[in-house]
Amino acid sequence: MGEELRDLRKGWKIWKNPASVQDGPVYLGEFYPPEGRFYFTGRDLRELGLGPGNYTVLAPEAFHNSDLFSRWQKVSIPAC
Amino acid sequence: MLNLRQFQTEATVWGITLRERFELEVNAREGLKPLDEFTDEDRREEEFRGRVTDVLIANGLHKRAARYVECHRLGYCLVCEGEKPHSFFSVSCCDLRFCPRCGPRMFARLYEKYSPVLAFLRAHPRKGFLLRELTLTSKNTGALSAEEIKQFNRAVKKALKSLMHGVEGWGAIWCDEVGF
Repeated sequence: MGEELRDLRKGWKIWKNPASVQDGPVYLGEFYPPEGRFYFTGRDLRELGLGPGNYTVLAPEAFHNSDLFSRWQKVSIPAC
Repeated sequence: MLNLRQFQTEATVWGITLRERFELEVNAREGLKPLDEFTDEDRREEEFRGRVTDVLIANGLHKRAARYVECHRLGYCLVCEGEKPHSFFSVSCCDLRFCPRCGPRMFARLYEKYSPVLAFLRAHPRKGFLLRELTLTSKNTGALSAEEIKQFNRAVKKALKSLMHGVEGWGAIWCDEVGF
């Protein structure tokens, strides 16, 4: 993977969605999608040790100015 | 209710911009149209709203920026008072005149407000007076400040007074429209 492509994979921020109206999103930190991908699936998040629920992911700044690709992504981990 | 100080602190700690903190607030909650149902058009609108939000934040209009981001993405359940209160749903609107969704509704409200005046004038014509629509346009410089809007309105008044100089009993209503 080239240097430029590796940069795009850096710094994907993930929050757990609020449990109620009173709560806010919970920041979980920066993670990296699997090799060769620029998005997360529920299985990816599960492998990172996250439990069932809805998560919001923000792609790195490198994706800015793209009208057809939202930097935001919603990922769900279903309860087993 | 928006807690701006908290949002600014969180944005700093999490390493994101205030615009992104506002967007997170909408995207992380179950909205009227969740992220995973977005079409290409929705994404284009999201990107456009984000750019406008950056401009609003840069000009210190933080709460307006948050309203603009969450416009038509969230809703409220309103409950009437009384013994048998009924509840109903209301969409969250930014009510900003330059919003592609709210602008036409604001225009319709304004038109409805003044339409009885226009109907009265048509029904009671006065000799020597006619109803006329004028469009006054200023140069688009790519930026617009509050002072420039005030200056434009002063120029409109001056133009109308100059146009109707020496005439008694005339009146005018106008609204400013901002194009992109």
